[in-house]
Amino acid sequence: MNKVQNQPEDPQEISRWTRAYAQNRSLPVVVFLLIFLTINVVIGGASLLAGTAYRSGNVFLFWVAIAALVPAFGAIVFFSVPRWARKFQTWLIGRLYAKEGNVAFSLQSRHATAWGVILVVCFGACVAASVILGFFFDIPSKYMQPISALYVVPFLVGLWLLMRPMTGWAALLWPLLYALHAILIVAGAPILFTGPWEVLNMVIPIAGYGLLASLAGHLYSRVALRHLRQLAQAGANHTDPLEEARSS
Amino acid sequence: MTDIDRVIHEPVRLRILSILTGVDVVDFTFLVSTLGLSRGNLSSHMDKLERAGYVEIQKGFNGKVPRTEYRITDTGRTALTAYWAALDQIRSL
Repeated sequence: MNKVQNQPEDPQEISRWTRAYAQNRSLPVVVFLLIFLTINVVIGGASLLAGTAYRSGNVFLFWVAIAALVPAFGAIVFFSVPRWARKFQTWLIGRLYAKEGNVAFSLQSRHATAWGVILVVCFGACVAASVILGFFFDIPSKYMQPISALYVVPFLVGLWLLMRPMTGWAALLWPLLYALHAILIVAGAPILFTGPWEVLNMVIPIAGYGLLASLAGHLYSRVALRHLRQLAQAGANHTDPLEEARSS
Repeated sequence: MTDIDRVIHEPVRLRILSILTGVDVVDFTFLVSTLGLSRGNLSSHMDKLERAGYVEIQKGFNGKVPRTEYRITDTGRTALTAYWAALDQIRSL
């Protein structure tokens, strides 16, 4: 039997879409960012509530707020322990992609890990430097995000480079939007939150754009999987090798 | 006359190898769902590819759930490249 006609026209397309799918499986990142946001909202809200309740002498409300803080801090401790966080990540990926199965790239080389440590140390030093800068100089709060962009954007791009080929192009949306946000603020665009919403000036670029980039990656992974399945199943002569062996 | 590798020439096995060249590791569930094959059918194909030395099979557990992972070997990559070269030659005749 001539199977040449059954072979895909461009087999590299199958490789390409497999790769695109694997690089953009970012649903776990979406979940992690949502957990991170929830923890922060709970801590922020409960702290505010606890303070108000304490000042007004409402003991019941005070303890309710404290009770809400306990699981939030518990979650922070849980995710701070690398072994537990890794275990949770493995469990989460297994649950989210139970039907699709697992597809992955090999772990990073030692070389990349060393660069990763350097990157994280540099990032930490920049965060510390910006905090110290804030103590000594009266920097307007509207410039907090543009100043942070000076080290957050290179950090995210560096992380993306180190994690390649594990991550796709969609992940670059995060630093791109972060940089764009900073440029717009410096240019005087009316995108600043004031009053009690001031915290959103940092939350949106950090978590919001991260969420957006991860969702874009996830959507692209759906497109890639659909293309991949079409190519992998189209025109294939799924002969049973056992039958094939018997007939030969 | 050009020799065609019969192990790779089977369309399903060719697709499996093409998927494996795109990434480092895939598991059994991914191949079943992507190729739309039955589990038994896929097992037979993987068995043939393993016997030819084209794929490496690693069995383990993810917690309590059994896990089977596959990766393409260097021999598999070379054979696939040679296969496409041979097929191109046939097509150009």
